[in-house]
Amino acid sequence: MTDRSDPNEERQPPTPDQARQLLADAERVGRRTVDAVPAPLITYAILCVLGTMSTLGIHLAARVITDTSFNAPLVVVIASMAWVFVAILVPFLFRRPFRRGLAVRWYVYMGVWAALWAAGMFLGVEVAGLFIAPAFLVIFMIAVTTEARHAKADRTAEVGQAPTAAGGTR
Amino acid sequence: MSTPRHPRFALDTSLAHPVRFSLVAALATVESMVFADLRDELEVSDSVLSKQIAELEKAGFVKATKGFVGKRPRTTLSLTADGLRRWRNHLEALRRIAEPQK
Repeated sequence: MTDRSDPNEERQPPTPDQARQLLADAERVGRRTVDAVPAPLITYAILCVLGTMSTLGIHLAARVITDTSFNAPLVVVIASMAWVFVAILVPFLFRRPFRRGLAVRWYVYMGVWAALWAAGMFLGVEVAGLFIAPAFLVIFMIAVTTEARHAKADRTAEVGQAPTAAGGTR
Repeated sequence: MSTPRHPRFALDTSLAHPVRFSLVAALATVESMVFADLRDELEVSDSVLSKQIAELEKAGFVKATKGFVGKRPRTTLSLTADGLRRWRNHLEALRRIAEPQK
């Protein structure tokens, strides 16, 4: 692409080939800017795994360990809370940009996770814990499929059928 | 019956510059981006990027938010709603030029 820096200059419109090149450049830049797998989704996976394991851990600790002088479920809660803190803290150390629209959805995902987490912590010792634990897998799969759908829709909306063979426009 | 105008009329002149084009392409896919990350992404100097951001701010495409992380200043950039709409229109015009039969 030629440098046409003077906005008042009489410009020739791009030829079809140049237009295709520009569309390909836009797609390439957009793809490079955002990660293929959004980093928040990896954090969400960790949180959901923690949710399942913690809920099951609380349930099993309450069932298996009969020593009343030792609060085994509390140990599981404290250990898992420490990992949740770390899992949430780490992304703040790396400033990867959020894919457009993910910021709002992220709050929704985290709201659902937090509600399920609270349920797991309070009801984990009951039979309900056995139903709450796999629910973390369900909410993670919903988040993944939602993000995959949005990523596909974004690509279509931004660039449409742009050719993939691209040179550079920098 | 009037003849439809050539799609070149729908092209946005603010995006004619290659750096501005790449800058908006990068911002269109994200919520916001830090100045230094954008500079590294586009492989341009601070001064070139600052100049093009100023042009795009003047054109209403980009919003720059200045803040601090500790004592260090940080500029975060995002597309305005109007900027995103105009970017999409620009791409649509390019698509029509690239494939005039559609």
